[in-house]
Amino acid sequence: MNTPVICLQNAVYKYPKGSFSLSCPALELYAGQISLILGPNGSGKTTLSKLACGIYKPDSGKLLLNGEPASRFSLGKIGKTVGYLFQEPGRQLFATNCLEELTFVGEIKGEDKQQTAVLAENLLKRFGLFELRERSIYRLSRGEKQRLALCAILMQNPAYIILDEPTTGLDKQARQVLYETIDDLLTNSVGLAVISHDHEVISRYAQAKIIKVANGEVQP
Amino acid sequence: MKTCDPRTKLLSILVLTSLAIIFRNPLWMLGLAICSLFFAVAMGSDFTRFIKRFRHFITLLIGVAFIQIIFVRTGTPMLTIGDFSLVYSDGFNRGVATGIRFFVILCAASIMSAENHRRVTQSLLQMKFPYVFAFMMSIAFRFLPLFATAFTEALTALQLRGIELKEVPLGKKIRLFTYLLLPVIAEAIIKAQDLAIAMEARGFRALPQRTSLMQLKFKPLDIMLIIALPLIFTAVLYSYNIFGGI
Repeated sequence: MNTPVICLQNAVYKYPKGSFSLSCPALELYAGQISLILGPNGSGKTTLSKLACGIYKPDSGKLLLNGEPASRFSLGKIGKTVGYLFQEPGRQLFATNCLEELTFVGEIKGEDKQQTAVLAENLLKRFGLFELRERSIYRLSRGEKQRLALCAILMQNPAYIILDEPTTGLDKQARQVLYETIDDLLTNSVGLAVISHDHEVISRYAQAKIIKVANGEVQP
Repeated sequence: MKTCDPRTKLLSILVLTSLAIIFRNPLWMLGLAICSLFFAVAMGSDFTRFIKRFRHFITLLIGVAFIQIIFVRTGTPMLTIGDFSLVYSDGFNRGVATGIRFFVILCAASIMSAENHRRVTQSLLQMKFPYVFAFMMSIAFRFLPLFATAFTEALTALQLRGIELKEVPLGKKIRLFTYLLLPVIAEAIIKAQDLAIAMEARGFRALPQRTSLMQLKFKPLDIMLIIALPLIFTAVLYSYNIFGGI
């Protein structure tokens, strides 16, 4: 099998201000595969996902990204490999309208404007947001914000995306669009880890790799 | 002193920060800094946490002090290279004093950070501040950690979009920070609106008078400090005018 995009080895993370700690003996996540991170509230699902994408640094053990220690990379570099969709997508939207949301990072990085705009428009079309490209991000529904945040992540073309409880607050129709988005990403060989305790998600992706988290322990 | 009344703590902050603004002499400022640190620790401020937070401000503090040292060009030359005097006594004194002043203000702020927000609100009410003002203060205290979390998450999300903060030139960095502040401010406004609606729904300001079960009472130590602090303030100020003026 190929090198896993994300690999945690004997990783332990303890919150500096709290007593909660998470230990993960072994975890391997591959591109093109879907994994479900399941567990009750407060079990450490979000901590695991933030650890897996380098937002938190393990106190002991290792995090490898494409086989290389993540400690060598800054968050900016990690973002080119792993994307993270926060539980509250509004927190990762920064611009005034949808199109600008996808292009401003490229402008700051000094990338080719035309190329960035074409890529952004293609992504907006792919995720059904092209008609809303001039709309203020504050006038989007939760589902639309989520798709826009995903588009913004995909501007980096990451090999893996972690979705933190993506079905929270979505109605049936918005959930359907989310499932189609997930299927679309998997078809395009993007690996996905979905944090959830939603039975609908679990039954829909029954073939997915299940990662159980309980009381700060990861049981793959 | 950890269990001091919030009013006593507010008075000590007022004394410390007033002296920090009045003092110009670095030696007097240094003495004040030591006293402030003692007060902060004695009044329950978490020393380790304070040092951790203070580390974030060290660059700013040194930068401000450095600017004063270099650009204030009055007094006697202290460091001369060839014919050019790099540091003057006034610049040095002002730079060091500014740095220490900043430290004193942080120490003073840390005194209240350890205090329960409900007690702060009550202390303001018992000092005859309008309830709306006291409540606003307590909300601000309570929301600060939430804003800090929102800001950190936004910064992380932005970096995960492939932005190397260290590599972004200054002009673009300023633009980047305007993008960064947008979701934090927007979230603050939304939270404020939601909170206002929730409070109205629960009858906030439905009646002009509010009563409170909690009543703060001064302890002997509070009374002693409330008498002593203004006396110490006056005595220190008097001494400074005689011995410390530069």
